[in-house]
Amino acid sequence: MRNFLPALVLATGALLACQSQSPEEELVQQARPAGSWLATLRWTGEQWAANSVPESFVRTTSAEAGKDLDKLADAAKKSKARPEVRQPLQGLLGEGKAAGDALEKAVEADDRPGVARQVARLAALQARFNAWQQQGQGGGGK
Amino acid sequence: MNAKKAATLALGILTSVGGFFDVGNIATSAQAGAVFRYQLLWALLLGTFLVIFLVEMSGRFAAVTRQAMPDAIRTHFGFTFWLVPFIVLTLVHFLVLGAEIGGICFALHLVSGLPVQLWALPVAVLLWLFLWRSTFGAIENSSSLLGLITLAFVWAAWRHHGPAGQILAGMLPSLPHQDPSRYWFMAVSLLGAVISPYLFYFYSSGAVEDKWDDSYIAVNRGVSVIGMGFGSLISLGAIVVAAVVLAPRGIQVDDYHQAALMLTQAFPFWGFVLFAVSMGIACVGAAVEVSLSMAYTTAQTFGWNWGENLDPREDARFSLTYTIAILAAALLILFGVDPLKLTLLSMAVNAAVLPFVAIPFLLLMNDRKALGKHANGWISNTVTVVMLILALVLAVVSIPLMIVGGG
Repeated sequence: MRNFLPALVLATGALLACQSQSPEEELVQQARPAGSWLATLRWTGEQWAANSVPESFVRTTSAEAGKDLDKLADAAKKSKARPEVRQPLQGLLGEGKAAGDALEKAVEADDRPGVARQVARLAALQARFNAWQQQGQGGGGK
Repeated sequence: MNAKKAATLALGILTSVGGFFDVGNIATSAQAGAVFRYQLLWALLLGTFLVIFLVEMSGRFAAVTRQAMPDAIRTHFGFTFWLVPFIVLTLVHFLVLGAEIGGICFALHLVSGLPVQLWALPVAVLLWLFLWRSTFGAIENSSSLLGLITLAFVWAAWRHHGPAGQILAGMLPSLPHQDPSRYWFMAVSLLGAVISPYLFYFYSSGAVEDKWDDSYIAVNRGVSVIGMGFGSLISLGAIVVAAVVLAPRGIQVDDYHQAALMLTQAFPFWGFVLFAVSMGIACVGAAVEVSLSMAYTTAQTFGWNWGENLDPREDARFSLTYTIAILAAALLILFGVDPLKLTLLSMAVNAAVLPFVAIPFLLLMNDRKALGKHANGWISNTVTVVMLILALVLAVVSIPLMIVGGG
């Protein structure tokens, strides 16, 4: 037991050391929830159109997504990643938040074609986000 | 087995199944399935195996000695020996109670659209009132039987026809393909959700409340193995549903709003309400059990009168303990602590502290003077010790990794 604990601490330390990442990789990891929120907003819109979720759920989900996307935008602004990696993400996050707000407004107005448009817009943003992630993981086009 | 025992067994199995699923299971199963699909099923199996052993032991001890665990640990090993595990257990109870109250508030938020924080105090008052007015039997049977609604996750998983080969492969431990720190942290959280210490401390006090004696040993074994085994099927169902519904869409559960969409594909139109009701009922059942477990362990540690079947005037300090616990835990939610983050933290802490709270109890299970022929054999001891060490190692390695990794 006397040797077990120091060994465990060393193993944890070694694992932590292996975790060091470049600012670009760090930003990609930090931004992971953004892709998940874009997908959530998109599916929430689809489910509202299918009468499976109430309007209040769209409203609160959009508000939560907006808060998280704002936090991520702030983190992206402070990131030390190169501008060609950081700036596209900032643009995507801003557009994602705007799409969430527009989805909420369309739902409140019971505007089904408007909801379908926002769902399509979120799908396009999700695809762009995935492409950005791939590029960031690959070194940001070095 | 006579008719009364058979009825106790059947009811015990049903309440174990209904009472198994709580906010920790919802959060960890949804996250594990959404991020790693079926790859973490082994952690659920490991946890189920361990919880069956621990619950069976605690019931066996109570049936043979007619004493609950903390009471017995204090009288056998002394107050000082039990003090540290008791403090750790109280902290864990408090975090889990906060998480369960957060789960109830979130379920109410889903159906009402009102902010989560707004529900914290009304929920606390209703929980307290329920505990103040009810007997142990009423609590055990009502909340746990209503909890059978969580079988909706098993039904949904069945309707989705998840890939059997991948599900079976996930039951064997494997290394992660991506994000190792998150993978190990989730494995630990899943373990902690299945083997919450409150479960076996509550179970042992409940057996004393129900006046079990050594003729209930077989009933106890049946309830632990069948009840807990089938209970974990609900978590398995939730992992499968998250893997089929959330993972392909790229939805990872960073917030309960994302988990709320899990059942809408299997049950269009009413899946959303079913999720909210399942979450609400599961969390009410668990919150009641955690509050009682906290009051039981505190009263037994200090040698106070205790018993949910007593009038609150007869065990005032016992009743005061759950009153304070509920109010303090509700304040966490009232002051804006994120319910999902609180849940995941509580579940990881559950796994990390498991050896501290389970080892005194394991020592007691080897006391042949108290238990006679019902004391633990080498198989129970070896299996439990190995699994407890495994849980501790996973927790010690993964929690710092997750904190440093920004999770």
